[in-house]
Amino acid sequence: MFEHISADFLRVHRRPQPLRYADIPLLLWRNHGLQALLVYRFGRWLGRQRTRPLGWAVAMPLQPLWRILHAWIRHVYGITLEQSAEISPGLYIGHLGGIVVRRCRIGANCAISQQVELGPRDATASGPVIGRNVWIGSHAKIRAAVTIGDGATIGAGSLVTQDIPDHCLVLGSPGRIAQRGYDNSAFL
Amino acid sequence: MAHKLAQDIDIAHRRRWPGRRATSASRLWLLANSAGSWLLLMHRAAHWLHARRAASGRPVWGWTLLAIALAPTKWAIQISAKSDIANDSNIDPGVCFSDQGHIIFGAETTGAGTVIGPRVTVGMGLDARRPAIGRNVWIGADCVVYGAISIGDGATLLPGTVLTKSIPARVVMQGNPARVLRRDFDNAALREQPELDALRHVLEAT
Repeated sequence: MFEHISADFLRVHRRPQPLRYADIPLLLWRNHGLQALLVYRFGRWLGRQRTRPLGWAVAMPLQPLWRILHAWIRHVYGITLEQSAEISPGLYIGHLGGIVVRRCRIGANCAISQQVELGPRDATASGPVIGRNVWIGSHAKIRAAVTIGDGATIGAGSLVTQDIPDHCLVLGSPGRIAQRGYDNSAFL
Repeated sequence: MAHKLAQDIDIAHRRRWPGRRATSASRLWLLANSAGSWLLLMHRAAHWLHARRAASGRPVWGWTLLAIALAPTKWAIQISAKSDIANDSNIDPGVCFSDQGHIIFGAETTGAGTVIGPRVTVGMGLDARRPAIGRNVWIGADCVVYGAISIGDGATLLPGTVLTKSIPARVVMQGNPARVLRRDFDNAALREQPELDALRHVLEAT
């Protein structure tokens, strides 16, 4: 859990200087998404404990605490990161409000923004698989079980309904591939 | 600053209670329960402080202490409206933000009489230049506007529009990517009546 969390912290700490412990409170205060990710990772850790022998003894007393934190993040910040999502280390969540991440798989070093919706509305359906270094603009919706390649860029407001190869720029609703071989490293 | 705020409240007042005369009591009542007005009020304070701190050029203890004192209120307003307005955004007096919130707003300039709907994003942090919005613009729900663009006076963005190019005055835009739906359209009714079905109103008006 802790290497995942440190990757999340490094994602919001965009400075050449190394991250110090003294920076952590200010980073947490400024980034609502980082708080949401911490609570999500805590919940996933609790879920893993339950599969271990005697793990329930650890998980049970902490479960109410997680529930309170999860409800706080969901209602107060409008960021819902469900436990069925598999989020790799280093997700960046920009701003707050209307962010819903349901059943889906997100690769390392991705970025999402406000009003983004990932995963199907139906809890039993399978969700999208998103590669590494994918930048997803604000208001984008990926509900279908599509595969998004590494380094893809999903433009703001796009509704993605088809598989996207690596390093493509997707714009419009429904999303169309506007450019291939697009490099998003400048703003990821 | 007080007269700016009065103009902000007057436009929200006209939208909430059409045809009712604004008294100090009704203005106070509006200010007490309108999240959009809190957002704008807080932005005016934060913007003033931001300009002072930028003008001094170096860190000044007094301004920093004031910013720390304002931070909890600002945070409370931001999370209650789930909105964020950039401190350096110049918003003219007489602008209305939706009470439903979810507004991430970073326009360089915004003209008087502009009405911003819920779940609207204007400007992207990673762009060097951000949009300049003219006067009397109506931006509907779920719109996204970004890039170094300008929106002409009296333009209308129907709900769900994603705009990345400059548009002239008095046009109606719709869709993602945005296309011109009507030219030379008067959006006064849209700005004054929040209950109106925007698309139907535009289609029936012309």
